[in-house]
Amino acid sequence: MNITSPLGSNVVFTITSDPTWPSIPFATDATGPHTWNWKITWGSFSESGVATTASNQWDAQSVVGNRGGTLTVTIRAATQTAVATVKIKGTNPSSNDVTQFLVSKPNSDGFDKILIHESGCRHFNLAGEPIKSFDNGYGMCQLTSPPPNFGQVWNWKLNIEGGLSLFASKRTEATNYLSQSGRSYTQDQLKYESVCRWNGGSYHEWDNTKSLWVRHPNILCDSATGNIGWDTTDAENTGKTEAQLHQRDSPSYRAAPGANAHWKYSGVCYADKVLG
Amino acid sequence: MRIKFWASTLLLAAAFGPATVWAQRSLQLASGKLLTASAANSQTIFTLPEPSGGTSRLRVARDATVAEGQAPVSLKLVAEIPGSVLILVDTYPSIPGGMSYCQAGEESFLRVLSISGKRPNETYRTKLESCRDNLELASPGLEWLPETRTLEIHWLSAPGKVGKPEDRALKIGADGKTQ
Repeated sequence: MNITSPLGSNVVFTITSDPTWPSIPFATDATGPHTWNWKITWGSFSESGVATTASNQWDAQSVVGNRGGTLTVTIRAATQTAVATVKIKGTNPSSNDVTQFLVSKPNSDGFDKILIHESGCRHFNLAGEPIKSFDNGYGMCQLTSPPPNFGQVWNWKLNIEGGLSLFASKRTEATNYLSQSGRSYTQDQLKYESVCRWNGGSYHEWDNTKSLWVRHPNILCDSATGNIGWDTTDAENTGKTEAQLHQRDSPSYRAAPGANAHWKYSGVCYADKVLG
Repeated sequence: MRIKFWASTLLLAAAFGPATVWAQRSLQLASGKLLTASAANSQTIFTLPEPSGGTSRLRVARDATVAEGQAPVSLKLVAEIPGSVLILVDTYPSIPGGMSYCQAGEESFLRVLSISGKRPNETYRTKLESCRDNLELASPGLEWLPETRTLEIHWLSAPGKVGKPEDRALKIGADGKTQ
């Protein structure tokens, strides 16, 4: 039995930026019923199954679903066997694709800015495989915990939905915080509060004199960094300019702040950086 | 009288090199002696002064949101029943996730320690605040009522409540047991 489609080994099929999974047609020159034992693997992810057809043609699109990597199909017809292997690779969406997708998602205001800031909306590397961080964070949202499934690793929309569920928790927290004691807030304040909490801590504090929420007044940010700032009530920081503090502390930014540090990672600075 | 959460922390040791290590934190008790906290693997080790002049060590658990070997970045004394009970809050940096998730976050634990027996022991523990677990205190979050030896905890987002508030009152016995 010869495989007539695809011709050659490791033929590449490409997921579009939508993402839409391609048709992956398999065919042989044999006749009669065929059994297609398929297995798709990528890294530690794997999925397998069996399909049967009355003829010598089968499209793997229906079983591959949201997955990519290496698809191996062992084909059986009567007493004959053949094995075919293809590659499935991905295409990055544009920032506009990501923003448009998030517009359709409730309570996502601000998450598009995090994605643009953190990953540039990049889901696949130059080889067309999902990006993977040193700590096993996968895809555009670098999902680590809870561990993503195969589909969330390859389908950027499912990946975003995984990240969005974490962001939704922060938005709920932000809403509870800003609405405590019957206080009012603006949608812009909710966005800053949510993005700040993504990185850690609260963005606003209640100003009793003005009876409104204000940005924490004692945080000075290092605008040359993503989320480093100083508590200006710290005697070592009081009265110093951003430039002076940057010059003093930037040599120690390569590691997390130590016990003697007078700078810190700040969700307030993160939100300022991400949202502008 | 209602006493709002007060804190006293004293830094004993510094960080060394690119891999930051928080050596230990310390606070002063009513006796004037120091309680210190350090870390070993996934546990925090409290070194407590004994009336006789020696010290006792107590190992307590954190959870998976705190990095192994990470000592507290903050150690606060909520209340003390001298010679009997300590109520502490120890705080750690969150383990960050992808996309800077919780990189600036913290994880805090409330502990009630009984120090009246031969050896100190932890009689109560709860996660108090957490970036990774979405836990947050209200303001004020902790209130100690010394007349009734009651600790009130007010959460905006309580453990196991998924973004819902909770008020909890713990009556602390002389042996550190809570009701």
